Amino acid sequence: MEKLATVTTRLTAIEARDLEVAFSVHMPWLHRRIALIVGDPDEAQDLAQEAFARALERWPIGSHDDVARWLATVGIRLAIDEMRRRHRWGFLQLHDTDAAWAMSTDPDLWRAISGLEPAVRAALLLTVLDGYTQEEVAEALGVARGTVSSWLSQARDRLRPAIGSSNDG
Amino acid sequence: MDDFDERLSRRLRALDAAVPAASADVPGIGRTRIKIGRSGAQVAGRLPLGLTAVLVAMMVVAVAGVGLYYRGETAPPGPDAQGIPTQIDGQRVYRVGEQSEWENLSGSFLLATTPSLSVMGCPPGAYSPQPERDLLSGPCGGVMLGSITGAPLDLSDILYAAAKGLPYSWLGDWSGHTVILRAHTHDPEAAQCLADTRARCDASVVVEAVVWPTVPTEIGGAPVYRGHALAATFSSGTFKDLGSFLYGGVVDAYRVHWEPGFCATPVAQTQAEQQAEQELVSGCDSPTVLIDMQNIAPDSNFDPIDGQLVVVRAHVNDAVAAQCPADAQRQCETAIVVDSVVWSSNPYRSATPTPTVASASPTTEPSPTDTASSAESVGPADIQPCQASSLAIDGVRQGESGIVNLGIVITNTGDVSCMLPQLPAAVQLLDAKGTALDIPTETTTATPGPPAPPVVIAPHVAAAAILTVYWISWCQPDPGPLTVKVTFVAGAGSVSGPVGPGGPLPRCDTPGRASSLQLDGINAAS
Repeated sequence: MEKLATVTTRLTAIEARDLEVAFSVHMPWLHRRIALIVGDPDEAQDLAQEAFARALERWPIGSHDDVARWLATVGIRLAIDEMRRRHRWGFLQLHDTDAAWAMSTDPDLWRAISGLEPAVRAALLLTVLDGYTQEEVAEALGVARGTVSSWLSQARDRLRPAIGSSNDG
Repeated sequence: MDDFDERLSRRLRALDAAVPAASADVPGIGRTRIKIGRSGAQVAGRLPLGLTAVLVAMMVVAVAGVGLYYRGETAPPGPDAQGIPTQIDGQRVYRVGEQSEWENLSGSFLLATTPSLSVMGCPPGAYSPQPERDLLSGPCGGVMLGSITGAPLDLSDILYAAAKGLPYSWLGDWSGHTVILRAHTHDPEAAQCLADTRARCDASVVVEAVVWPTVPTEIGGAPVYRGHALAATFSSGTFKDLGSFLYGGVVDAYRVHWEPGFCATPVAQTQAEQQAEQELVSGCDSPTVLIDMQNIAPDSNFDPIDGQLVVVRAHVNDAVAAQCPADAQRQCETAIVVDSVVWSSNPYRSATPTPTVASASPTTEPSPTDTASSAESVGPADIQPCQASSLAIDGVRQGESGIVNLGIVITNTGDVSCMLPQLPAAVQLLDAKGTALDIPTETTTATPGPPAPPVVIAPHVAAAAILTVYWISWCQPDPGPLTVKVTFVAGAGSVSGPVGPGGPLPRCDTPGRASSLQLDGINAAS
């Protein structure tokens, strides 16, 4: 803790402001992205905060680094780890009612993406919602580009019935 | 993108938007107003085990900054209550959230926003074609244009300024404080963007200038450094040659409430090193004070008021810096030590106070909670209104944005202190023949809040007060050398003085319509 205290007190005002700006900008986005993986907004917030906590440990990351990508990588990996932990310890699958916000918005789509493996879900969200390339997703998730390509193809196949069954358009 | 991908994208975005906002019990920045001084332990107790310690550290830093956006739970939610003009010279001042109303305007418009330097980066090579780099690379370490200070910050409100236009470092001086920008969209360069980026290029916000508030660019012939210029001397190492200089900008003053144990003294420091560092660098025992985002040494002759605009006489590379510990040497050398305040203004005077401002106002400006009656009592009862016959004025005109800022410095030539009203009865500009230019005067009445109190000026103190006047739009020939004539209320008379041997003229913004002088009030200079 003393080491951390020293690090923290050594943050200049500019660095503190940078951190605050990053927190302001990225926290809502990171929270939403993780929530789409784990389903629970409160848990997503804990995980997003942990990602920021890790960012603090190495702050300032530097203006030329991609802070957004760094947070996405750490936050999404934390979310995937959490989903794996649940599976490992035999936690029940997330019930529909646990994600009432999603069920009330698009139940077909939510059920479909809930059935995807966490890493596949993450790859889908990062490419479709955030515009990351397959190479960038591969780097973030620590897998080969071909794996990501396969995952996305798999995801599209799994989601096609849900998208096709909708009347929205 | 085929139909399936398009529908998938649209429905995923709807799902993304439906994620409930972060809980109010945790530091949901952008969702929850946070009052500086909130105990970190109160928040940390709700966090998962194992995260508490590091999050408390993160939060105290973050909360300190967030306080710059969120002035406390009692902050007025609406922008009009913030003291931000809703129009200037008849031109509407748009808010960032009114994007649908300004994004397709032709020509320049006024935009009230709170800029913040962005720390994000982009992949190498992103936006490499020239027009895209100029117009779209804002997120790659540029300046965010956020909501008005005090209004809820929402991610959807955030824009990025284009790289072309006013340099980011200039905008960054105002980080965390609401300003009014002159800006435009549909920049001509957008026509050269690639087809798939053309729409985004058209929508890019190109900032031309900060038109409100303003800080003098020079006083008495001496240039006033702003934060970006001073930072450049820090980067180049030339700061050691600055000597005594004028430094101006917007003040940030806040206090971080550190959790017990976070301020342990590193054992390697000697007492002399600790003492030197405490004098020059804000830490656990002193409030954080910035002017234009640059650190002000705790051992300064300066009573900071959050949000105040100031010009101070200062120096860096203080002799004490040599005694600082090695790992803080750079911070100590570049710490700005304020010797005196030479000019101040309170454009955000109606804003709700930050509860952690370090000390009371050194000027006669009202505290934000003052009522009109208390504001009138700032001066002792035996101080009389100033008579023009005992005043001397000297004006300068400056401006790079098309609006000319007339800084009219007022000196009390009498033998006793006297009071000046916040606004004079009239201000006229006279040509070399003594003929008044036909320019009506207006006051910036868009600023709500209690009436400002009179300004008390001591005798024979040069430039004890300053009247700021904005001269807006001039579509006639250059009138040549000008004299400014200020007429005071209640029969106190008029006083005239030069307004620079030369200087800029306002841009012709309203052809066929009258020019105008907007009075921004008289403020104590020290």
